Amino acid sequence: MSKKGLKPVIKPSLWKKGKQQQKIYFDINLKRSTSFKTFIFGLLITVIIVLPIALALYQYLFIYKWNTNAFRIFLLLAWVLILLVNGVSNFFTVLLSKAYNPEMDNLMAIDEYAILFYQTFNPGFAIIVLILFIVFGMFS
Amino acid sequence: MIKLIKKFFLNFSKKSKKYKIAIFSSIALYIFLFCIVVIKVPYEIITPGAAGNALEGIQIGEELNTTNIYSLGIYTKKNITILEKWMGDFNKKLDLEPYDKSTDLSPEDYYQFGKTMMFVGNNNSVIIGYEKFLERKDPLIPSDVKLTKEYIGIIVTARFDYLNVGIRANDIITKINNVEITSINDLRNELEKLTTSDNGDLNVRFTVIRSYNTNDEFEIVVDHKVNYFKEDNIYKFKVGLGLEEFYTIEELFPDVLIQQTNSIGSSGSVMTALAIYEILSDKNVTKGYKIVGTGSLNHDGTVSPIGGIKQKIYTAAIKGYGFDIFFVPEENYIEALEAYNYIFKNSEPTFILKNISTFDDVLDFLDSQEEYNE
Repeated sequence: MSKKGLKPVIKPSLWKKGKQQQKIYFDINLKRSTSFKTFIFGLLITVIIVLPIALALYQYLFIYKWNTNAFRIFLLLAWVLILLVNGVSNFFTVLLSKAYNPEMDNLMAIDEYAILFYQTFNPGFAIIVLILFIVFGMFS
Repeated sequence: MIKLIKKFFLNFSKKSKKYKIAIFSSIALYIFLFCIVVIKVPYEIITPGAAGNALEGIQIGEELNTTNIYSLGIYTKKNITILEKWMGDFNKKLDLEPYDKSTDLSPEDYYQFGKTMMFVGNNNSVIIGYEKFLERKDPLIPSDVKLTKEYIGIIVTARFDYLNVGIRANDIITKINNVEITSINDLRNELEKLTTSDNGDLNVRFTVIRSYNTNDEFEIVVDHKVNYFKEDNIYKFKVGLGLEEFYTIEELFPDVLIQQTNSIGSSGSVMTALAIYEILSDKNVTKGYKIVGTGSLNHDGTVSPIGGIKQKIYTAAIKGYGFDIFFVPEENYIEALEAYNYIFKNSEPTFILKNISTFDDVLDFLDSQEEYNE
């Protein structure tokens, strides 16, 4: 085989892998009740995990709401936290789905860490949240 | 969910040492974070707040009024968390005060106290604003402005649970043991007499007007259990109530409409009186300057000190407000000046700090100023 014919193997980045894995996960047909349970429990675990951070952020806001710069920092941190919540809840949803359906090989092959990375840095979701922040800021 | 937890514990023993350390560290960090945002400490935190128009919620006559006069609000929170305490320790612009649940007002009672003080403050602002206009106006120019007031009694602005007092907040004390009370000093004198004549528990008969029911003169007699404490071999009386002399406005023209706002306290009353005075005068009393100030106005035109003065100075200095003159009660002046010097230690002051003892001081100072030129 000539050298010309060889194609280099390019490993997709974790973000791209996460995007692919997320698509695969959405294509898997899970029972409706399982999907619902995994989504709710995934969200619940996420809320428990981020609760102290959210409380700390709220207390920070109360103490520094008079300071414009501190308020901007709060908005930035709140934005990052929401993105993190999106990533973590998707991570746990996949993890729970795996625990409920260990017999599904295609599901067990999904890399939940890649999904965590992809969903945390999901630009579409980030922009929607940012727009909501701006709209909320304008009308409050 | 349970399946996931079971799976986690089954697999945990098989995991590497690094993984286990990471998990335990994360749990420890989580518990630490949870504790500092949940566990409360007995402190109250006072932070800077925001400036608002001095006539917020107040309308004089038929038209909506606007002035260039502002008052300041600050934020307070009692029983704060460990994290909030640390934030308070870290920042010089925040103040921490010890808060004792058993002797200090509860947050609900404090709010009630603030609302009552605001009511009394607004009442005093209207009285002084109108009285000073009538006193200082040009006698040759006819005016319809009218105000008559009547002394009612001593209003109870705060009550303390620990004293088990029968008197409620907003009650107006008119008599003690059937002796008419015409001022706070009167009330103190009556209580002094009691302290020296008896050294045990004593039921004092307070005659009060409840729910501002002054029209029907509906009076309630409260048997108030007196609390004594011994000092220099003298048994002294402990009232433990916030008290203010209270007047009702009998006749008023133009009418004043006061609406409920989210604010509490009477610290804006000096600036409210100034704004009322300016509206009635129909001239630019503030000479084009952007005025801000604080101080609790009494019915006789004297100005009492307020709490959180440092935070009010910091609030006034927030970029964008652009105030020119800040009026501060005489008793708060030294503390205010410290905060003022701290803010402007490396820059030109953006506003003047002026101490006042009476409402006349405010008017005299503004009279002495030249018109503002950009």
